[in-house]
Amino acid sequence: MEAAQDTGYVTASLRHFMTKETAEADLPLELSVEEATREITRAIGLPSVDMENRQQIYELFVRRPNGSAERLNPAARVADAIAPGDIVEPLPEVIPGRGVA
Amino acid sequence: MLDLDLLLRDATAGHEVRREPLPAHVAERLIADTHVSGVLAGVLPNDGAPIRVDAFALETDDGPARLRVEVGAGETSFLKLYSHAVLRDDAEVIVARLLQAKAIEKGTYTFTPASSTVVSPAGGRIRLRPCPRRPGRLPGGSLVERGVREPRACRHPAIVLPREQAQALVAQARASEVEVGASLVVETFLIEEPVPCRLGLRVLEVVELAHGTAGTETHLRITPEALAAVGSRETDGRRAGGLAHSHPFGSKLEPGTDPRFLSSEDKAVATGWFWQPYHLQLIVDPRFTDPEDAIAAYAWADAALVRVCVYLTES
Repeated sequence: MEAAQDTGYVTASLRHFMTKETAEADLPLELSVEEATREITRAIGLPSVDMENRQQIYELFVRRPNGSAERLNPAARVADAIAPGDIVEPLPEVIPGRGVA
Repeated sequence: MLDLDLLLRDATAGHEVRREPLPAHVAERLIADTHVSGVLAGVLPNDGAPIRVDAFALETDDGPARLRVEVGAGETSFLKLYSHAVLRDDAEVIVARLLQAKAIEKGTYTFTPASSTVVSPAGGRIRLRPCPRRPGRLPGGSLVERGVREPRACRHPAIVLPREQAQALVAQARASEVEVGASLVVETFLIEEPVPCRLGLRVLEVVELAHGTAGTETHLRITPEALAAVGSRETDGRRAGGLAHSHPFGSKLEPGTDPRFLSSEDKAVATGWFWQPYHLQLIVDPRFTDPEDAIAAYAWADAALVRVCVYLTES
């Protein structure tokens, strides 16, 4: 996988929570992890609102080529948090419940 | 890909009440179902190679709207037609959201798919490469060898739930007065016996949801960390296969009412996140100790969520 740091992007793989498929993507270095998460979920068509019409909560997880994995701090910058070759995966908060039968 | 809307009409007057975009994963669900149907029918190759979407169209010319989905692989293609009824649960979720937002009045509505009239906004600042759909290969497997004595002629996926796993779910539910949940790790296989639906699922492991997951009497908040913990256990032969959660409010419902239903919230979870043909939803009523009485199962059959039977096995 190629790094694109010199052009203002980092190339990483996006893993899709439901299909487990991955796609390569260039992520702008200047984004915060929170901004990147929002853009990633929109780009791959994940649900954007929850049952109460609030913005759907996601957190971004990363798996490093060395096998380590971690949840990324939403306030961190992509430039500091994601390295070339990382696999990133947005995961949702989901709330099953009683609702209306 | 065709962008779809859902048209809601007043069931009595017939006039249009609302037009809402259908999420992108609705189309993906139909594509995944068409693919697996083609594989089960022996028309599409079961080799794990990428698939094509040769057609995804809305047909409205001769009666009620229907969706035409054609999936190809190699030299072959498989066509499946879906009536608008396949969107019933998606419609229920949309209506529930609109009611929550007070965007529509309580009432009775009919629904039908329609071509979107709005152009999707261009992508943001991320440059995303095309990603071929690669559903993977289904290994062959026997229901009998997995402990099923007499395979039944069901038209839904065959679900094998070892009693040990079922009892673990029931014990977890009975140990709490609030909703609790578990992720299901499953194996998928192409059933060797001659049954109507040859997609087989066996629950290999139930993983209690932790990492900050918290329940109340009526809801369960599952954190991203809990889902990540399950994802780390996946391999080619072990997939995250859906969720189980308890409905501990059975004693507060009208007498005779079965609490093992899927609520609108449950359907939002199933249609939004767990829509692959091999995904399950299990609901556990903690008033019962026997899994046969405590557990109800829901699975996807022809891309629609239906209550299904399970094989409780001793092995």
